[in-house]
Amino acid sequence: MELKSYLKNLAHFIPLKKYFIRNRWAILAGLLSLLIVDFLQLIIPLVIKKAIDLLTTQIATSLILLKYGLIILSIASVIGLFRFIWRYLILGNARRIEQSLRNEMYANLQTLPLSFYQKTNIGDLMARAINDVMAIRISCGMGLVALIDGIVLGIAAVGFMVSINWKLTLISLIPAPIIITVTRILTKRMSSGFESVQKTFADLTERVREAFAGIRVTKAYNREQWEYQKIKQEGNRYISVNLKLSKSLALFFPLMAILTNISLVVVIGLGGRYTISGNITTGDFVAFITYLNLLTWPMMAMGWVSNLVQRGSASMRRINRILEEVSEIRDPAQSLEVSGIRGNILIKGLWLRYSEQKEWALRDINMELKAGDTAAIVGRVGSGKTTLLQALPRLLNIPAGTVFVGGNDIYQMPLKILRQNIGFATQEAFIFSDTVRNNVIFGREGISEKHLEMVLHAAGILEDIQGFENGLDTMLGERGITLSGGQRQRLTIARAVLADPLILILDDALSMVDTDTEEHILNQILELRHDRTNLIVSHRVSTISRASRIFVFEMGQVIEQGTHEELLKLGGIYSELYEEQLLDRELEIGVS
Amino acid sequence: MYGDYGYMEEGKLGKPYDFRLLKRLSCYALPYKKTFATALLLTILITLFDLAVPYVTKIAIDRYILASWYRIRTENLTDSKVKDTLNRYNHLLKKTREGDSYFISNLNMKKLDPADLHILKSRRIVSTDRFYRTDAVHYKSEIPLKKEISPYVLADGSLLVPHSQMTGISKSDLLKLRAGDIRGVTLVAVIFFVLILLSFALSYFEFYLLEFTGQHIMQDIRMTLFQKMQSHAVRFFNHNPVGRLVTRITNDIENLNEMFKSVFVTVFKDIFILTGILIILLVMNWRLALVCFTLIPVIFGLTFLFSTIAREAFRQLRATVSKINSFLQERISGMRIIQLFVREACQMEMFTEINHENFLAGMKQIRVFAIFMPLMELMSSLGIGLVIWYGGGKVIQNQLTLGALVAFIGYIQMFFKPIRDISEKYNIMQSAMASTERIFEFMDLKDEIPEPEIPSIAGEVKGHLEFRNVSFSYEENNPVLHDISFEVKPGETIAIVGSTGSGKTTLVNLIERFYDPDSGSVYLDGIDIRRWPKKKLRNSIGLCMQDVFIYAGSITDNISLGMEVIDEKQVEKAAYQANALQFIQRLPDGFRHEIGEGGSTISAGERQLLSFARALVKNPRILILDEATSSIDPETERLIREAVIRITAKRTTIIIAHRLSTIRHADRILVMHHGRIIEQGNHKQLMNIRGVYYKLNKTGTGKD
Repeated sequence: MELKSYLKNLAHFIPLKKYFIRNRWAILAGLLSLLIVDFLQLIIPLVIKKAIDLLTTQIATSLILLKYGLIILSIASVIGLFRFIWRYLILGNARRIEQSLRNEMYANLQTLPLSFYQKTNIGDLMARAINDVMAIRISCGMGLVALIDGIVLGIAAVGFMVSINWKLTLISLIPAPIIITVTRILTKRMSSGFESVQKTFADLTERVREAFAGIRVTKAYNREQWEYQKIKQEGNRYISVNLKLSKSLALFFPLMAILTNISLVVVIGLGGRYTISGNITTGDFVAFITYLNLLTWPMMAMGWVSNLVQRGSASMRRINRILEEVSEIRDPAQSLEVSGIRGNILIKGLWLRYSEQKEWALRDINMELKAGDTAAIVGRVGSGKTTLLQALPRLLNIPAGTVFVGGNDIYQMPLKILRQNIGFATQEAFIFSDTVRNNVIFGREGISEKHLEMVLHAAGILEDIQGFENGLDTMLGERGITLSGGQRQRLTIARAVLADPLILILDDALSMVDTDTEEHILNQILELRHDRTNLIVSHRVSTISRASRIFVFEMGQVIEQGTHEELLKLGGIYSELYEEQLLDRELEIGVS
Repeated sequence: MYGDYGYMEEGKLGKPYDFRLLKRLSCYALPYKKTFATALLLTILITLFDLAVPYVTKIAIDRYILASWYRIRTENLTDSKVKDTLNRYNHLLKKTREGDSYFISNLNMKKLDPADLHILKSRRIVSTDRFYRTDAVHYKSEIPLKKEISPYVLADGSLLVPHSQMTGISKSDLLKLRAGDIRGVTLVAVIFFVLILLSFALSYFEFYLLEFTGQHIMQDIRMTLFQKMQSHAVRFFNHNPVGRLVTRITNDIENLNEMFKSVFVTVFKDIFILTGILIILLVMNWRLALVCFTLIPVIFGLTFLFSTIAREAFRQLRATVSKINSFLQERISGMRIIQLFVREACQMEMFTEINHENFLAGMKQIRVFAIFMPLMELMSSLGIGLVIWYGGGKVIQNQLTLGALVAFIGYIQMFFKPIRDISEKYNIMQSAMASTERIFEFMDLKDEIPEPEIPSIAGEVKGHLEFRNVSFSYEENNPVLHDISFEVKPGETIAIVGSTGSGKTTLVNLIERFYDPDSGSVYLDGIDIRRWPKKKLRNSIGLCMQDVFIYAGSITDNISLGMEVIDEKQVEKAAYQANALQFIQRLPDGFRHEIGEGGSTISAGERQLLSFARALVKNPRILILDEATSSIDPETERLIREAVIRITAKRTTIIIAHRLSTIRHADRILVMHHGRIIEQGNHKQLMNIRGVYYKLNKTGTGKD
């Protein structure tokens, strides 16, 4: 039964097979070196034994002793060499596996759709890419070594001991199975202890985070003491799980020592008796003690290895879950031959629901835009605007036959072609930690400097960039300068407009820019794109009113559509939204 | 093991130790000095035990297994110089009953000066033949000996049997003959066993004690730091991102704990063991010890070299991991953009590259270790080789016992672990010192809104508020409020309108004393709020903020905020007044329903209602409503509007509004713009002056 669960654990490692096969020669050479090291390590006590016997019987001379000293040194040198080789090859192979596995994982992550990222949290993915891959590396590296060492070194050392005296071996090894079992039990308990320490630490962190994030409420309501008590409680819990863990830890190392030492007691008591009675020589006695010391590691390794395998296989399971994840948004089996498509959009009876949700996010959307139209979409938060926009480049999975671009069903279009023809500036302006230039060009080829500057100018960001010390080559983000929200938005608009796509989508992309600037930027962008299709989501009346068509969304439906004037006349939701906004707007105008 | 909470603090690594900081730290350890002393004592005892292990082997070998005596002939002794020598060692020699010759044990033999021994040996005064000493009883009665040699009898009656006699006798006879040695060996084993048990118990207690003390000291520091941070003014929290503060309280303190444990272990245990080994080696045989010590500079040199290189390799490795980390963090959160712009291929290329950098750094680390680890083992083998060669020579010359030789080998193998430990601890020390420095940096900050020196002793708060010539700026040269003056009478409701950034929320911050004004004053019931005890001031105000902060906990917790004086009835009443009762009752567990992080299970509008209940539960004289901007469904909107009308009655109320419909009923309306009040009066008055407010209302159509 034990073996069965072992094999089941090992089965999770199957995806690694190809890497092991690819590196098979290095692995074999590494294992061979490891065996050589193990073998030679066992020889040294024999040499020491020989020298001691010669000393006991008074045969040894200075020259003989020098010879033995040199033999030990030369064996040790060879051991050193092969140690280097196995470390380099086996641990290196583990690193190689880590690298390949991580690449494979990231490559698959890139194919997964928005829906995957909506239900998976970033921290968890990061933990898989870093910690789990690391755990796998350890089980493929040191885990493998521990397994081989545990078996080979253990069996061989016992063999040598038996050759000295089997009775003594048997009796002195009574603690061995206990060591292995105790290591297994304790390492298991320790790793669950570590886990709960980590979990409590995370809880403590969250509690502290909450205390500081809500500091204004805490202060306004004089609840400092409450927070203090909560943290203290969590801190005390942290202490108690740590102390619980430390009970296992405090037991572990002394227990290892005591069990080896008990064997030593046997060797001294019983082995001493054998030596005196002449059953074994003094050299045997010493060699026996040395072998006993050598045995400590393989015994611990045997206990340790099953844990490593377990932990590694748990990590493998988590990684496999990502590797097996397949995107529901794929290129069509038979893609349409598409060339020279036009920018007209037709949406027919589109219903859309996020998985695991009851409510429809979009209900029966019907829209038609001619190439060169500029359309605006308005509606409250959560009314389905962004959902619709994300359906166009198939970030969300939509049914076939509902959305057409240039007369082609986008379900039948290669994703690459579809997306290359759409420029999208998202609600939150996403900037990578890279230079300004790379953020805008974003790896696309054939963009001239002149064109780049022209687009940046249109997006109203060129002047800001020229004000930076390194201009277009200024680093942004984590290790560079931090842009304001408005600057980020303008930069992402430039990114979207740069390749002059057939369709441009601005999803509330200028919300952090003041009204005048927004108007200015939109004028320039729309000027550039007068013959292209533009879809704009905005809350600002000034933006919306310039669209040739306005769609008003509410609860996933288009409830009003028409021109600005038509909709105001209608006196529905649109005119209401319009009024709400006037306050800020008029304050600005009223005062100036 | 522990990930930083959103904050990677790289690069800043200081000295491995800084006595000024250590001294400050030790203040926190002071309350635990007794447990400390106990742990230290235990450490010493355990170390002594560790050191005893190879020595026990030595005793077993020398005293019992290889116990032997050498005969010293004095029959033909003429040289007076030699006679003097022997007299000098008289205490080491045993006389035979007849008094004609002396015997010396193998243990005592090496106590002779090597020069003297050489003389005695070369003149054949000391025989090379070995004798076993045995009790007379066994010898006489039971053991048949070869007739030709008669044993020597010592003064105490024990017999000395020549080594040559022993070979060839039956095993059982041999055992009988050496019964004393066997008893000795068994005794050593038993004593050793007892020591083992003792050491086991001590080690367990030592570890637990250290963990116990460490954890409690950390908790003390953590709570002191938390209290200190919490008492800082709101300004402090605006300057420091939450992630950084959290890192101080969690990760930095965890680093300290690591240091506390490893310093204790390193400084005491490892150094004890190292010096212990050195001393024992010197005592056993100083010549051999000195020969072995020639390796020490090499070992230390190698270790130092290694730890420097390893540190660098480790730093590189960590840097590449954090690069992968931030790359992934960014790409995963920006995956949409990558897919939208069809940039998968070039991103993959970038990732492969940094992943490869990580691989190379890992390989570098492997190389460093693959060289160092075997090299250290080689040094250990070199030491053993030296002992066999040089020490073996000493054994031949009878200047060293065989047991001591074996013990030497044992000690040399033991010598390497503490050295490796110490070099590993260096890293921990370094990062812990950096953490300590950061922690104390925050402890030393003084950024509090001061309590009044002479607090006002006014009784019941009536709720009269007044701003008199108040100016304020968050940052220098960037004033947010200019010379604001207005008054709110008890029970009055005033509304403040204005665009984002006009300074409305700043007014609230000043009333709550989150900040103090740069000039001018805010008065409550005619007394400067800087003279009110902060607690009393804040207790008299109920504040509902724009984003409602939800604590992880039940609905009741979120309304009462853990105040013990508030019972369930009061919570329910407050919820009713705030129109929150309906939605709470709809929740699966009602008031006991747990709302998680950020309160994701309830809607924005419901949160708003919850915050009303929270403000009402303490029945404040003054109510401040910083109205939510986010759009909510019409039903909740109606509930909020109703609640506002109900709860503002009879209280001094300040409403910050974005919608004209809510403020029309206010007694007075302040129109703010760019930090100034540009119009004030009630709806009618403001309409009459035909200013900004009038325009607003006109364009906003006459609805509602």
